[in-house]
Amino acid sequence: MWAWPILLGVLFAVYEFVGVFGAGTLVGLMEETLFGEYLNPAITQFVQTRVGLPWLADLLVGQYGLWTMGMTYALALILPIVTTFFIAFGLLEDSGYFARLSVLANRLFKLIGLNGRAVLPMVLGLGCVTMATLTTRILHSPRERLITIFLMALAIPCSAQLGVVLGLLGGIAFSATLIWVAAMVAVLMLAGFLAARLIPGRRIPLVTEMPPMRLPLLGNVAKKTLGRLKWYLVEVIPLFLLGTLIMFTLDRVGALPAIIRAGEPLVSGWLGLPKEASAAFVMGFLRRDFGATGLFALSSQLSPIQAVVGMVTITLFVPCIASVMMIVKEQGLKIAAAMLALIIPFAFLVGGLLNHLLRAVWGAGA
Amino acid sequence: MSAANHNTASVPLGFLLPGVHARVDALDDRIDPTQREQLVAYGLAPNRPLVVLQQHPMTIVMIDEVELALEDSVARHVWVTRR
Repeated sequence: MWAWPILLGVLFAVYEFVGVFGAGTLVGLMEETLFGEYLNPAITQFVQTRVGLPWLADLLVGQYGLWTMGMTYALALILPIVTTFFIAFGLLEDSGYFARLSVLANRLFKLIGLNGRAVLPMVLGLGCVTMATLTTRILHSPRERLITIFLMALAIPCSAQLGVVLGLLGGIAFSATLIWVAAMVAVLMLAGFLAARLIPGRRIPLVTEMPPMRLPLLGNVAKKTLGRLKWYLVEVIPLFLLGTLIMFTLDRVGALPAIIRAGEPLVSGWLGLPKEASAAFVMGFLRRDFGATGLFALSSQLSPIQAVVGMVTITLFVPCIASVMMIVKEQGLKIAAAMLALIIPFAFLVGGLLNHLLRAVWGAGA
Repeated sequence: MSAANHNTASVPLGFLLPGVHARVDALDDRIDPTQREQLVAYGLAPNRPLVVLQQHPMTIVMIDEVELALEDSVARHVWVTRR
């Protein structure tokens, strides 16, 4: 009887701690104040005066610079979010709540060929899909891992992206947010339902020990949080730097503007978005919330329908490059490529269908 | 072991009401072998006593000091006798 109210309370507390305090207050302090006002201007000036080669200075501190983009995102944007998320996750884990959450979610997850244990990576994915992809190792079969990773790559927004989406759609109308949530849940359930039937193998029923509920031990939580942060620093930062290097190279060889131009018919025609939105999708590949932020910057030019369609498409669109690297690491290059080949057209298909549906219901002027 | 091999007092674990004490008779061979090993490791093995704590949303039993949750598709293949 109390299970669902307790779950809502827990989710609200996690949202307040990670979404509001971590992604809002701490990121503001790190990104705007520490990096924006002190570190980046000082390092940029230092590099530009000491490094003779302009392209090298650009690689380090330019628009797609290893420091100004790669390290700034890794340390100023993501580190505060994952730190608060790891703390919240550790507290829930040590309290014994997660086993109960698995039991509660089991019936729903049965519909998509998984068992309740998969709720843990999915909840973690709402913080950071890259890290959550790694935690699918707690699942018992390769089939469960594959389905969970696919669903997270497709329809689970990370906390940074979630913040941008809620910020834009919340400013339009509550109904806009509800349409986005309904679209995400529908896609998750439909894709899961189909994946469960198409991927060979059978579902493993849930059997889990229920540890006693207790007050979390702070020593345990601190130890686990530090261990996970160490993993983040060692494994994820190199991926950010690699992603930045790829963007830098694409920009240098002129491929980035060409990709943006090539995507315009799809973005403007099928999705009904302004042509400037094409850039947001390319940026979305580097980091999910980047794409959403790109659309957020265009919000004054977007109608309510365009805002909803844009946010649904960019949420479903490819996971960030760090997540893709992690999928390659966990599932291999072939499966990662297959996932991308499926996800990209699917995101545009859903976005376009939603565009036409909403225009049919509310009219083109909405 | 199949259902036909059980004694007449045996019932599937999933049929018992919360609060009932029982003893495990057998784990049906329709349970996946790996999962059967997992259940035995948790203490859900023949001749072990247990108490049913709840049946919804999943079957939850107490075996010694271990609280174990089992999905219905597993609980209906665990045969027990009421004590």
